[in-house]
Amino acid sequence: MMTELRSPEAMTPSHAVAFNTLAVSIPGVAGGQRLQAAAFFRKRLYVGVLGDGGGDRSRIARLLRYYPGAERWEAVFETSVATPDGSRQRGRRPFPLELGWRAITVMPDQQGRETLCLSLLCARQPRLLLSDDGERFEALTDGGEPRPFGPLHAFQGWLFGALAGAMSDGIAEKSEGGAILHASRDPRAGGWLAANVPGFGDPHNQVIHSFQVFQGWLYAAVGNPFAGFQLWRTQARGEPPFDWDRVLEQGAQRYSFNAAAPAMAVFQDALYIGTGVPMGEPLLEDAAGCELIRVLPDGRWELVTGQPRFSPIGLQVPVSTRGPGFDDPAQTVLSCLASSGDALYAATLARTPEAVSGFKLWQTVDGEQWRPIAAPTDGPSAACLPRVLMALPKFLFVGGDRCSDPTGDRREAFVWFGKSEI
Amino acid sequence: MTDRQPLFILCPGRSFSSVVCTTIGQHPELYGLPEIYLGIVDTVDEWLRLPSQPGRKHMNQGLLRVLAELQHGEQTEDTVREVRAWLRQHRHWTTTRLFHDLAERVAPRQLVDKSPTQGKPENLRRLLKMFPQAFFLHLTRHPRSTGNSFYRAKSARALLQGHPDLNRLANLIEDHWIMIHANILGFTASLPPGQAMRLLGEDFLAEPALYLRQIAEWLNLRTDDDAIEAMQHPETSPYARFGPVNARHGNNRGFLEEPFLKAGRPSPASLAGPLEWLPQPRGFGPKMLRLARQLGYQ
Repeated sequence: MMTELRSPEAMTPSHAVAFNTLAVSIPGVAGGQRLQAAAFFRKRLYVGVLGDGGGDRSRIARLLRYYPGAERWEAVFETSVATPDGSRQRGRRPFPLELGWRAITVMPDQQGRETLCLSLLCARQPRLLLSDDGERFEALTDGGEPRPFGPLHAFQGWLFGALAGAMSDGIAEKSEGGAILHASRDPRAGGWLAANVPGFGDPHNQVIHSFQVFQGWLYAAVGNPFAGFQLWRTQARGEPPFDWDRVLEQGAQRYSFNAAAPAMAVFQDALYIGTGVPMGEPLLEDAAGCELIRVLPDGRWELVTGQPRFSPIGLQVPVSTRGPGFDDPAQTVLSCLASSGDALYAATLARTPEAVSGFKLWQTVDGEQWRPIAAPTDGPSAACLPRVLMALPKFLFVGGDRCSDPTGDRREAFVWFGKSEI
Repeated sequence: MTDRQPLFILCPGRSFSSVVCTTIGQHPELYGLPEIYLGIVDTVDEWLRLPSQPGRKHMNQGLLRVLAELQHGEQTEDTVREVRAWLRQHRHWTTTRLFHDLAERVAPRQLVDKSPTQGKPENLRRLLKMFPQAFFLHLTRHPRSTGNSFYRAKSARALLQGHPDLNRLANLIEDHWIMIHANILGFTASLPPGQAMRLLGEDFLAEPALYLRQIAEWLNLRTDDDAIEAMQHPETSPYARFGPVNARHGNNRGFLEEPFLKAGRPSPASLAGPLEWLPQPRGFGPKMLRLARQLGYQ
């Protein structure tokens, strides 16, 4: 088996991705930006950025829209600032009410109309924005109802959102009793209902990190730092709380070395799941190299990259022949996955308790043989932190931020459009 | 030098290693050894002097039984005496040479070894140097169960020897578990993926056939039903019974008394709660909790 695990790079097919780098600039706004979330809506690219410059308005969150023909950006929404007592008094230092973007997604209704849904990180309470046209945004903050804050996903006419508390020292507060999902058929009207029992019955299931729809089921990956992540699925039949089935537990038998699964994508009749502790969550010193796992239509799972091991369903040897971190154990987080239909892309990071560095991009056309893609890092890749990966046929979008000064304190957003040969 | 690569089972003591090693070793293409301790010294001369060290009185017995069986076809007082003399004549050999000699004697079968003190870094490095392509199986058992078993065995021995320094012993149990498993984790992480695997002893005992088949698959051995059935009869091993009076042990005493694979999940244990073996109750420390969770324990 050891010999089988060493695969020469020459065996992997080569499909180049030619990138164009797009500067992210906002008319009339100076200073850097951090790109945090993105989505395509009505044939336009929307990105959520957080200011990283100086001045009172330095930390404002903005939603930008890109016009490909004119190659320009337009700010279509920006958050406000306030003084500690809520007024704009002279001599009191204003502060931002929002801390940035958590998720942007598109929700279709039964008539085929789409709504842009955005969740904001907030110091006070979660905030959800909705827009039918990308021009006007309706903020849902009142009423005292629980509001989704983390990842969002539309499924079977429901908008699902992971509920979490406010932010404290950059870390989202955990829900008592475990992670809670809420679902609403009409977010404007409220009606948010608990879609699961807290923590799916395990209080150590703390945060829902990712959603994905696969073969008529909504899958949710929930982080568990004690026993390893779990994967649950529902068909959302009837009214919430829905019936959920557990698909994976114990971090797919890698236990707390696979504490979380922040990325999922569907590719060629399988659900791919990337592991690693995402940004904003505490990381232990001895974090292991990330893994890629896939769930097959019959419910079985296979190791794509990672640590060979025994399991209740049989010997697991990575089908890619690559070990943890795509053969680099320092790559501890598989942060993003995206499928174009013809190819699957993955972004990995070398995250330690002290720093995040050395991101890599990977591509496969069969789910098993992976090859690295050269990214237009315009300098050391260590400086780049990808936040968003989206793929369409022959097309790849990568968005994130990178260091813009030698100290690493200042960051600026980057956007790469890649054209693939496949 | 042989190209037959052994399987080394790495674990602290009291981790089901006798039954796991003997069971795996009953595969038709494998040869399970008792505790031979060739991986903890460099020369046969050093090995012959092991019993003179404190706590190592019985360390020669497993290898004496193996050599008697392999060289003479039986384990008797006479054959044990003869192989002891043979070892003295070959005291200039390295333990590497002797280990490879054993591997050639059992070829085409592969050796399975489980000497528990091999969890020290220098011993792990020595094993890898002896057989660079060897397979390593990291065997685990819940720390509470291990601690209770260890304490019962050691305290009984200490009382029998008239030195019941039990408090000191009790406080060492947790550190010992952490040290050995951390050493093994560090060592196996340095190997190419697939050269080492981890096995929860509790999972193995709950469903031995399921895991024996996976172990055989990992080692590129036969996985047919006959082979898996043979593995489930450790009692047929020549080392699954007490030996002659001059080499009586070589394995866990409890296993030698009842050398059977008793399938069934052991009683559940928890990381929470005070440790039974401590005079002043306290729970596991944070280092233990983190490591135990990484290994799959709650």
